[in-house]
Amino acid sequence: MSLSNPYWHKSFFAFLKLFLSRMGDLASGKLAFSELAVDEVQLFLLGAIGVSCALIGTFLVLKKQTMLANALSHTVLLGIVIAYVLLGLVSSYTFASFPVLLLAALISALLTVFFTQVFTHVMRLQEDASIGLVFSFLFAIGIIFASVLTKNVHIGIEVVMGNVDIVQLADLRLALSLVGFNLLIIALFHRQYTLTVFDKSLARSYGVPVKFFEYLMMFQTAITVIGSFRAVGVLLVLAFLVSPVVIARLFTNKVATLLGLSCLIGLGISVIGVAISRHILSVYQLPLSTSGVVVSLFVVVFIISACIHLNKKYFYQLVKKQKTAKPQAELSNS
Amino acid sequence: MSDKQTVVEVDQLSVSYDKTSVLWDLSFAVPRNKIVAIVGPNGAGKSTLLKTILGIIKPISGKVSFFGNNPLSKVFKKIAYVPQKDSIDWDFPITAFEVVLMGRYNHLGRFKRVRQADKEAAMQALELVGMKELAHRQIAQLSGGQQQKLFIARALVQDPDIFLMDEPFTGIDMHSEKTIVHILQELRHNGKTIFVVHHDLNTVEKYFDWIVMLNICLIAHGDIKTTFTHENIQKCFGKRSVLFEEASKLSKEHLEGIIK
Amino acid sequence: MITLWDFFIDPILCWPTIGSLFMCVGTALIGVLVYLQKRSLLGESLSHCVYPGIVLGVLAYKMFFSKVDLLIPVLLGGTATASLGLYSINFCVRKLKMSSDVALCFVLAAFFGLGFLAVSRVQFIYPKVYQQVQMFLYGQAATMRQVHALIYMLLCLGIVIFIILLFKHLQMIYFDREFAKSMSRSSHTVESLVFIMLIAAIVIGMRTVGIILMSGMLIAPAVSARQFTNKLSWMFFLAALVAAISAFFGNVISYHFSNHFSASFPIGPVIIVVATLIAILSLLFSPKRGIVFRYARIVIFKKRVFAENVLKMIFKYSEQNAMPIEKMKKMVHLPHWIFSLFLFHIQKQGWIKHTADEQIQLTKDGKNKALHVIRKHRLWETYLQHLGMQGEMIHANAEKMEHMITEEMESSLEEMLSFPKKDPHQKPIPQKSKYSYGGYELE
Repeated sequence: MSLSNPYWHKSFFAFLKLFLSRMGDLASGKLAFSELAVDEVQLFLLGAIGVSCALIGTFLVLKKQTMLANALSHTVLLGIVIAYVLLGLVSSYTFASFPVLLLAALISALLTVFFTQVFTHVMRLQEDASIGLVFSFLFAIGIIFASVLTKNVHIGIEVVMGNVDIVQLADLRLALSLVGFNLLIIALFHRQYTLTVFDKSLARSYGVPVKFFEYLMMFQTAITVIGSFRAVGVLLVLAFLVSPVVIARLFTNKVATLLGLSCLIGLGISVIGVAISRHILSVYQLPLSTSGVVVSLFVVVFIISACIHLNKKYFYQLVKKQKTAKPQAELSNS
Repeated sequence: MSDKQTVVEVDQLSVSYDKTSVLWDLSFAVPRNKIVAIVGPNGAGKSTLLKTILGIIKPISGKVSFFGNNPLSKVFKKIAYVPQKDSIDWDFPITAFEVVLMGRYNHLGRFKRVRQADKEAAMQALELVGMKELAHRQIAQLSGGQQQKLFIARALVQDPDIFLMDEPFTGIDMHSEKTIVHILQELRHNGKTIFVVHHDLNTVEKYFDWIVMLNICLIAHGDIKTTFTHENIQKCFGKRSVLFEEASKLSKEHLEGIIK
Repeated sequence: MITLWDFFIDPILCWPTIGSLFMCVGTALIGVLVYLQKRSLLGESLSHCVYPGIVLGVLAYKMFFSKVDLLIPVLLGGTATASLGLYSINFCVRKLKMSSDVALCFVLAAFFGLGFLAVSRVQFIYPKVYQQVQMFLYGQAATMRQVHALIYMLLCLGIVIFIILLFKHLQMIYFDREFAKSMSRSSHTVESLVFIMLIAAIVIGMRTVGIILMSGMLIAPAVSARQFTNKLSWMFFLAALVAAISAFFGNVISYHFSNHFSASFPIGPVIIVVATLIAILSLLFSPKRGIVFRYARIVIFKKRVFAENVLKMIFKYSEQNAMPIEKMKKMVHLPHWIFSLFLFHIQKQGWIKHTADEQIQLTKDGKNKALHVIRKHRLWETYLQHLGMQGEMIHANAEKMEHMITEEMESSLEEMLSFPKKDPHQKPIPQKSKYSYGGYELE
């Protein structure tokens, strides 16, 4: 990575211009991957995370299991701690080793789903209480373990919040493989996912293993959350999972379009977020968390979209008025 | 009844759920070309019977055979299931056309794409139920009767020989009901057999020609005219069976260790 | 050596202890209401909405005062954003037709993200404050002082008074919704008040358990209480008790473990762990609904069934209702020591006696019991046949039901079947004896 950041002091549009030209250089071979600037790494990283999360997030939203995904994102902390202990390492910033993360994802997904099922079905607890109880319990244990093992509660906070401003190239590789993984699963199984979410009985009558796909969805969520936590932290990843889908949903009624539009929104807003973050730093000397900027952008875009959606009739009327105004004007002129 | 005539044969079928008997020692056979009513009080196991025939629920004993002696595995593509309306998420972003298209997934296998023939079949099915104009409407905007007709269209597209319908007449308007009955009669005319879980005793004789009356155990089965008698209705719905339900509940409580 | 009592006396330990006690109790009380409405996840969502309020409150506070005290910013700022969050959730569900699960989650994530953005600003200007704000994620009970404990005590008292005043209304809303709906205007107000109290409870409890763990404090005490009672008043009381215990022992355990392991055991998470463990124990061991007791009841039932079947077997074996021990042991298939224990048990209960020639014989009571079971069996078979059933299953089902039929059911059966004398297999049904009280006889 270059020591001097070419994006230093760049404002928003200058940033984009520079970025495009550097990408051109990258494509034509003039620029090497190892020479990517921090901002570019951030951009690709957040973009990749945006896409991954949007892909699995679509199905989570359709299945109305987003709060379960919330629970999952909390128990991930415990999963990481356990995976760490099991694999014998107890240090704070080498989380990126792949086997640790994979194991952690598996453990977290299993723990969350297993305990929720035990509470709901064996102990006959109502579902919302099960979810809430499970994740606060497991998260509390995770925090206690993390504090004790690292002798420092602040590390726990870092894990939870993430920090995209200090990521490295290796993280990018992880994020890109995550995108690949998510794309593969969705491409292979989107029909089964849709069936499982929309009409379980039909799925069963076709012989589709409904339970298997429900667990697969949870595992996919867990691994996406874990793959993203270094950059955005486990608490913000939820925003990446849900926001693009919620925005896209205001504009489309087709599952396929929802998938595509969410990915675009996730990607686009991440990119713009990085640019804006740099802009604010350059122009106003205000260092802000880039992932925070991206999430805030999600909120802003959502509010604008909601306004458009609610006033659709108003907009249609506006358009109609324009169309009818023209011929009337002609009539009155003749 | 010769083997060729029997479309579904149930033999000593018992189904348990949560250690309670839900279906109990059912044995009956249904001939082809019938519109069969499945009636019984609440909790009688009617939906369970459909799901067991479909293979979604596994019985603890007994078996179901189709077209003579064939097991489910050989004929599952010839059976279509129309579930209860409330088992679906009606807010799902999907059009009527796409729902009907789902009926074809079974034929397509795991990874094949949807073909032109499938799309045309879907439109034809929608036309048959009188919903062609609503093809690209979101399902959230459909009325109760339209939702039901949509599911029937989806079943039609599977081109089955047996239809299993769970309470298709619940919560729909008179006009839709008449349309659906007409469709069922057309299907029967074309050699299909239709099982319908039905709740309205007043219309049983009008719509159906064969009946299975059950209340966890089989009360009666056979031709409507000879089977749907006052005595059988009493046996099925009357006070006598209340004790049986009480006993089943009691048995469940003991086996689960719950006290009231 | 620190004793338990020191946690109330020692000037450093007592304020966190007392403060967390009141907080947890206040939160748990409202948690009961939220739990009953099945909206526990609302607490989760709203507690995340408090986060930006804290940050913005701190930033605003810093503009006017130089000293950092987090009390006012948390209370005011947190309440403001939590209320905004509640409004947003309702807006999304009603106007945008989002499903409540998605609305809860999105608002949670959105608000939290905004808070996160704001806090990254604080991080650079006021790094110390930043640390303290971040501690709100898991609570910072340990830094509580007297003034905090007093304020939280007052707020908790406020919640208690609220519940006492509106108790009848609450009871109506939660246990008889239909009736409450007909009194719609007042029930609406009360429900809004509950939400206001929820936000208050969250904002109060924030300092002890923190944002992320707030759900646990709302849910765990309510779950525990529910396992032991159906009455609303008892639920409040038990939930408060569980909360108080968790808060107290949370402090104790955190202190001792931190010293013992020389590591930091933050109080908030420990309280949550304690509360959840209590909830799990309640789910397992509550007398009516607990799993352990349920399984115990199943075992007892199965034992009774087994005993009754054995008595039947001895009855049928011979005219004198007696059976050689060895034969019985073979038929019953039990290992030697269990068999002896079983014999001892049914002898103690008075069903059998040992005869001189190594046989087991039924006593008069034992004979009556066997007859009673057989009576129920044959009555039931007659009933099943009456319903129209045939075949092997009649006997199999009667074998099960004979142990479960109650007195009332027995008399209903008899009446319905017009006092039958013979069962479907033409075997005689034992009738109530005319000669001895509580006895049965075969004719």
